[in-house]
Amino acid sequence: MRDKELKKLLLDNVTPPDYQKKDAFIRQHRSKEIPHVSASRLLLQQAGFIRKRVWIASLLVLAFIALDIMLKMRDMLNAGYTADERALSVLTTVSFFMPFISALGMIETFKAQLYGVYELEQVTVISGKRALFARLAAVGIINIPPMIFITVLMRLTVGIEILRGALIILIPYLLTMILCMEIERFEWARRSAFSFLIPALLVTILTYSEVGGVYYMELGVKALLIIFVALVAVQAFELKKFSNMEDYAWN
Amino acid sequence: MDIEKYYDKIYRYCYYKVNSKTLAEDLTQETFLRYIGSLQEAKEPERYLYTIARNLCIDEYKKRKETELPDEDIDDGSDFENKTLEKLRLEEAMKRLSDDESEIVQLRLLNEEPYSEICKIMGISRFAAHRKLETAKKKLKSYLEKGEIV
Repeated sequence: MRDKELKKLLLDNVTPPDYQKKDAFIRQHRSKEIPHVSASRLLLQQAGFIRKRVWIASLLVLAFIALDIMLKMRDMLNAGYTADERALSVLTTVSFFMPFISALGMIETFKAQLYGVYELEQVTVISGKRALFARLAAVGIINIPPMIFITVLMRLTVGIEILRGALIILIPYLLTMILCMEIERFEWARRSAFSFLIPALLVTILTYSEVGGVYYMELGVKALLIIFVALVAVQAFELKKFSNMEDYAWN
Repeated sequence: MDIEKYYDKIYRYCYYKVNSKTLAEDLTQETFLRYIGSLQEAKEPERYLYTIARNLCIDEYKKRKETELPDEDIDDGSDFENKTLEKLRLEEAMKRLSDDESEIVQLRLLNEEPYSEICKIMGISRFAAHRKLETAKKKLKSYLEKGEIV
């Protein structure tokens, strides 16, 4: 008799455990065994999963906006444009690019869904929703410093108020994020990462359209604040919905 | 600690000690509950799990000895006569091994634990572990092939 046969004999002799009993026990005690991963560590961990090309693309687009603002300022000062015209021109550039930066981040955030490994992510030791929030935060953190830089640059070059500048930047960014989260639920959207460009394009068109006789760039701080607060509320609702979906999936 | 990773190993370990599916399941779950209930998570959970499982099995053995409960899996109404006979022979062969030999067979052959881990669990040297396993294998094979231990 060989060792292999002896091993097989020993294994065959064991009556397998009751699967349901085993499964119920593991499920019941799974939550207790999930190791605590601190928020900062999770953030760094998830930031590591965001591909370099996404970081580079986001930073390049933002660097391009900054460069464009500066070049435009030089040309406009020479051509003798008014302050309002200069501000409008800069805001037009910024509003055009922000949805695309947001869409780029969202592609990376929903990478698991796009590549069909979402279920796998849901059963990892860190829950899928925590991973999603961490990735959203990581993408946000990488985009926030250049956004602040652009806001300050707009203030210094064309004199747009910091609050107004920040809102003008954040609204298309947030709106694109929300729309990306919405379309992510459709099967056709999950087939290709390019589908995330649809919300970006839509938002760009919207920012350039005249709604009720007013262009987005011309809105006052109060109106922008209302829109911003509404979008934050919708975003919070979307995230809550996403979190609930995972809980349903577990049960 | 990943319960799923160790569940079957601990179950098999308990099964060979108590020879009952239901009891082995209960002891396996009790092992994990005691481990989870302990204050600190160990760096080497296997060692602690096996130790808890062994102690629980010993307690169970003592209890059984007092009440003389029959082994439920020896005759579970299976129609596979040969299989039952093989099972009985294997159990008989395992009974003829010393405690250490039986332990090492369960850890190495059944659960495929590395020697380094076995040495820690049993508190013996690598050489002793290897020697004990070889002796145990020889005894088992001899009994299973010839019906006696040489």
